[in-house]
Amino acid sequence: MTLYHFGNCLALSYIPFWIVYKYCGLSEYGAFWKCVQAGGVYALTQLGKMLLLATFFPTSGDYLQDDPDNFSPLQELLKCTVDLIDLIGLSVVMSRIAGKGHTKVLIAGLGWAGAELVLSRLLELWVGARGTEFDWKYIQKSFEANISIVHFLSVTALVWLHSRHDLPKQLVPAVVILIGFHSYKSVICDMISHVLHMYSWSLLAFKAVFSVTMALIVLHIYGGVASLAA
Amino acid sequence: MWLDQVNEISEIFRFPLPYYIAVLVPILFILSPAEAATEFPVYRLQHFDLQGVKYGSRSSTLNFEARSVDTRLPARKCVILMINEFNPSRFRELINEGVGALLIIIPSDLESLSNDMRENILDTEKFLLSQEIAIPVYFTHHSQQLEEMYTSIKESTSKDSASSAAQALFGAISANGYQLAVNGNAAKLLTDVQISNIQGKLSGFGLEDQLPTLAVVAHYDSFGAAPDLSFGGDSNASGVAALLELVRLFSRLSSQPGQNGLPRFNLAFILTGGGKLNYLGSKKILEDQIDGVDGGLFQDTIFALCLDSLGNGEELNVHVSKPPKDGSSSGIFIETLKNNAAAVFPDMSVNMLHKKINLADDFLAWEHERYSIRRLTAMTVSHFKAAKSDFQHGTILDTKSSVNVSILARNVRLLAETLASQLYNISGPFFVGDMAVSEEMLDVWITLLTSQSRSSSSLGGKSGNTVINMLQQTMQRYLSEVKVSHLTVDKRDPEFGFYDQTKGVMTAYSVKPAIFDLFLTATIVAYLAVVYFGVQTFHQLYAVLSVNRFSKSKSS
Repeated sequence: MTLYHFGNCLALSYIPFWIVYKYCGLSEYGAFWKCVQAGGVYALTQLGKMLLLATFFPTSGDYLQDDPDNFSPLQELLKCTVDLIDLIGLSVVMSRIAGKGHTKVLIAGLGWAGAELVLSRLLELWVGARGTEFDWKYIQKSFEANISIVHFLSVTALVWLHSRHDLPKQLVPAVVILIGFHSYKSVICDMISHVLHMYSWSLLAFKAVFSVTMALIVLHIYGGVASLAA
Repeated sequence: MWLDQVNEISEIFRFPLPYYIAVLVPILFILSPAEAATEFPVYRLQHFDLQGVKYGSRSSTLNFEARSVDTRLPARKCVILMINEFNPSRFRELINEGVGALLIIIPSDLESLSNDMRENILDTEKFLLSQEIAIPVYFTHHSQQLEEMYTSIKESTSKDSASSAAQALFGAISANGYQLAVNGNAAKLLTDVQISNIQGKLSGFGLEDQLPTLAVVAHYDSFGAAPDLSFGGDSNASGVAALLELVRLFSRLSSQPGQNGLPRFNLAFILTGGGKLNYLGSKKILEDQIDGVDGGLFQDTIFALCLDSLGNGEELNVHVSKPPKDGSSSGIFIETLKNNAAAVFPDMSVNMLHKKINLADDFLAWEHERYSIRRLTAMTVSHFKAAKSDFQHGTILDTKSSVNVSILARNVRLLAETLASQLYNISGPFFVGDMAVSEEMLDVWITLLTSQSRSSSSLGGKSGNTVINMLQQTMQRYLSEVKVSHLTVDKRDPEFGFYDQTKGVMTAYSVKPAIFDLFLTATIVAYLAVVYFGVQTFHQLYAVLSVNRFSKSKSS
């Protein structure tokens, strides 16, 4: 039954991608290859980030461990600062995609999240979820992949908004603040879970609520700007 | 569509995708590591053949789901239980219903147990060792981790007996199961086993061949429910320690110039193996010495003194198969022993117990019976009053702590004084001052001997065994003509047979039942349906939000 369980995890993490790809109109554009390209840029960006982290933050291997008591906010903060490179990567991706705002955002966001899933979660699922030992964490990981779709789509939308020249002036600070929120999402979540002692399911629920709330705000702004542009 | 995408991918790779999958997936399967779970050491129940009868657990590998002892469906499950939950009738029921394996948790500290618990363990051991059991039976020490696992299994097993179908289903879904596995090869017969005897001699004054011999015998092996848990403190590390101390004392005594010099006796010291297996070692040595060619050791034996369990108790019992005649040397020995005890240790009682050899019984009660059968005068000294049947005194409870070294020293002193006065024909005391019995030496020997399992199956390997080498070297320091003889297995008519896989590592995987995975699939499908409708109706949400914003931005 363990392969079956792996199948369950895989279904939970991948089918939402397929649903979004298929029913948001991307399949009509034949945008699959573009998504893969976005994924390739993701991989390159991660490589650059790794080089940077290895060069400038070689202090300790502690943060590799999931020890919740061993949590240093400063280090996490610095690490998240390096994540800002992701934004550059995303804007590069979007600059290379010709198309409407919606398609651009969807292709870049989906490709980005999909590459993240393949590169950072698939191996863990393969090794872990197929073992005889059952653990809820693989289902949780799979569900987290769904959250990351929402997360990356809203990040992409924000990057797109930021690159627009017709963005109303009064919205610029809001967009920048939201970008900040998204970039430091993981450190914010870690901090809150550390303070409130939230682990596993409650942390997952918190992440989901956080991401969806952010996404709704972004959607609100994006909708306004996109319809203005239209 | 999906197919188009597949085509796209295959165009990218310029190679049909199915080939990639066909090659990659098996490779990934082979290479993928398995996640390890909880592991703990387990010790398998004894597994041996003796005199054509099979004993103990006959198989070693298992891979079953765990259940507690009161489960209603034990078939092809591993039942996990505390040793005090064991009861023979339930055990037979489980066997009849096809239980897959048994894991028995024993207390981690075997030294401070209540009397009830001790009785429980002794009864369980006796029951399990009295028969042949087809399934693997393992013992393990209690630990916090095991306790948690045990409690969770017990809870989920109680859900087996839910009243309604819905309850049972819910129980099955929410249950936490454990898959227990012991991997490795199936237990197989060890071919190169042997039982070793070590003998040595302290020659007397005069023509050596014409002097009478007095033999002191002790078996050194131990026995218990599991070979790797049997440390045999009282039975019979105490006897071995006593024998070695006698060796030391008498070798010093006979080398002392002031005394009457050498006694007019030869003293033979014999450490025998297989003592818990119907005294096979003694049997072998008697066959060699009496029927064999060298014939020397027992030619003029006045008596053989067997030492068995001397490390405890307020009394000392001399067991004989035939009451000695007045004036015979064994009679005098027992008399002197009683007198010495009365003189030096007034609290202590020394009794002579007479029991005829029961030839109908498969097992001899005491080691001296082996010698009595061969018409040698012999006796066993022990603090036990009655011999237990079968595998006497062999229990996993018999550890170092069951030996009281000062009592052992007292017994050794008594035996040494009595032997000496018999040998030199004058009354002592001999062993005082710097000749006194050394409690320290006894303690060292007991510690050394009980530090590892001395069961016959773990000592049986051909490669130079440390325990036997150690005993041999010690004897060589004090005695002459030290030699080790081996009893090997006769291929056609094996007298004994041991098996490997006496211990292993058990892996416990926390698993969910199959129905849980189905339930999970249903949940995921429902969730995905929600996502699907969410994405389908997304434009409505988008419209609501953007229109709202649009009007605002227009107004601003």
